[in-house]
Amino acid sequence: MIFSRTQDILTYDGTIEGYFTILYHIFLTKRIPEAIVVDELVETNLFSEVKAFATVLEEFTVISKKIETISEECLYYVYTAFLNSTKNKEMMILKYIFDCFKYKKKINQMKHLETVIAVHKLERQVTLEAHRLKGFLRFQVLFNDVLYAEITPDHNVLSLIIVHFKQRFMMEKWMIHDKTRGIICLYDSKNIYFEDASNLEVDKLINSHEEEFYQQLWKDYFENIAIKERTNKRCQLLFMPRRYWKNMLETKGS
Amino acid sequence: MDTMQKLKILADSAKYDVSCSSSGSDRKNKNGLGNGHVAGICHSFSADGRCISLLKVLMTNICIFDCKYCINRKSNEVERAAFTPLEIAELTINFYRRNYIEGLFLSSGIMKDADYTMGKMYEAIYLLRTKYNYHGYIHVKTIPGCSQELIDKMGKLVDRMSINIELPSIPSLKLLAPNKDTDKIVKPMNYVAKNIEKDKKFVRAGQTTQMIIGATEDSDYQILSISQGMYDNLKMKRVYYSGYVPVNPDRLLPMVDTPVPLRRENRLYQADWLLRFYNFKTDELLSSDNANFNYDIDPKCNWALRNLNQFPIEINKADYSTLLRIPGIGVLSARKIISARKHTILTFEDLKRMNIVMKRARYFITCNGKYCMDTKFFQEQVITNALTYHENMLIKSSSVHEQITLFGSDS
Repeated sequence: MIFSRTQDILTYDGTIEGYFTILYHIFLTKRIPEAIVVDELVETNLFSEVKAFATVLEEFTVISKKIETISEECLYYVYTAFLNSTKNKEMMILKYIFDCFKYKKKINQMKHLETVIAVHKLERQVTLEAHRLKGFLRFQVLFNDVLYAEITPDHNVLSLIIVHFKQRFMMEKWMIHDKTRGIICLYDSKNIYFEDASNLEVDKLINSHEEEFYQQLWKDYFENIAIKERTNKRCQLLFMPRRYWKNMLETKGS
Repeated sequence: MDTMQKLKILADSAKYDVSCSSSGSDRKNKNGLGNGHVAGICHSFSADGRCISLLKVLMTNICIFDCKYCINRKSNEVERAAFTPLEIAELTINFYRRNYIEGLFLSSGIMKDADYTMGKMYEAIYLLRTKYNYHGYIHVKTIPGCSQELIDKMGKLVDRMSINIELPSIPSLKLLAPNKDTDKIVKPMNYVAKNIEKDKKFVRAGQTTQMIIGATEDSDYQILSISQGMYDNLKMKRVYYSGYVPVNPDRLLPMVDTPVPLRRENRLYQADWLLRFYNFKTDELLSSDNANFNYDIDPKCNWALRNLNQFPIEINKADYSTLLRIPGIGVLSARKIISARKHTILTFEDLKRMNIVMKRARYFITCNGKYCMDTKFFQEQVITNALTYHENMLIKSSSVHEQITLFGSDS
């Protein structure tokens, strides 16, 4: 298989299905693009031709199965790395997929390869943030006893964390709102639904009458539990980076 | 007294207990609220940089004991409060539902006697597990001297149990905690260990203990030897070290303005890590002549420098347990090395690209026969100087220990 390098910029809708559609065409035409970007983010230049791709589910499935034939692990890394928001992740993952086909099953053992290092790092950043949010996410209890939380993650981790919350709060009704991406995940104590949250009027949500009491208790607890003689703000920031503070009750506004 | 005031008093008294881990429990949610998370989850970090995972409270700070190091000793004039079992349960549920916490850590001062106190704690936990159908994490501090029957009942409901050994040696204990006899600490530990062996669901996340560091003259060697005994004989999951925060003026104790021995505590945690994950034994790290850790160099480096004849180690050949003995190489790095070298001969550049921290490791390894500098510099003094330079830079940046690790906060 000989691939030729081109100056093309390929655009897609930002979904994994769209991305795999592009991969399908790359493997079909044997032409490697200069860049793969989300439709809205494309910047044209004099030398490149921009080609927009519409998502084709059949093509997505073909690629998905192809990667899976190498190993489930490869597919896992591709999926998880794709949730990362790093610019140019599309090309990084593409190069990794090339190496997957080249080295087959043993690829993920090859921790010294540039492509593996890059994709494993993307994956690690995503799973780290997902793990952190399992702890840092805060629910407020609304008047109808539904739990509501807002998050603004760097990476698209909503799909990764909901499994955890579904198990933990299986008998509850809850909503997790990714404000960065304008998506809300709803759980009605049976099923999970994703919805567009751009019309959600957050200010109009009404809390339960107990909510303020427990919020105050938690804030007091948080202040009290620190041992003054051992104050270490650097360490606190290392484990709980500032960007998470605005959505956490106890650190909001500080 | 309202809940807010009670919580202030009873959380304040509990904060000196360092255990925050919520790992090791695989408890499932059975149509109720909550579950265990094997790796544990930190829900917040307080201003002292410690992880907040569990709601850490005392049932009461009323106590019939008069342990000199303790803020709640009988003779201290502090404000006293007590939660009812129902209050504990409701507080836990309401914090847990809002995802503030991973579970409950319940301890207590001793009211009336050990069994009475433990009975009250049991009531709270029983309520949580039955009335509230709560399946989240619970860590309970056993009251020394309580009956085996209560330990049996409790062990079936909680995920973790701990009894604090408090002071590292029997003479210290006799001097500062005359009411606690060591039998009352070691015997129940033994009993719990045996029960765990018999029944996987009994205290499924294992038992832990805590020692206070710096309140007495005990050496690091004494302290670490006790820890080793705990790990070897009692299958203890974790020994915690708590740098003594002077709360009481007493001629037997450090002065009230003595700084908390944070660096010593940090060195002990590092050494403890070596015992648990790196297959080191206390006698390799310290001896009665060399009874305390060097504060300038971490325990593993220190050991390596005293055993330079075992170095440098060839990265491409050494087995896993030998790789783990290299300063700066941790479990994850060792695994990466083993995995990658099946397919290539590793160079220094490879290791760097693989994000393996070379600051310390470089002085103790060869990559395909190459050393990082002229081999004539492979000398204790040269390496020590280079390392202490790095170490001082490190200390400036933080004093981080335990908390998050990449393979779970405990296991």
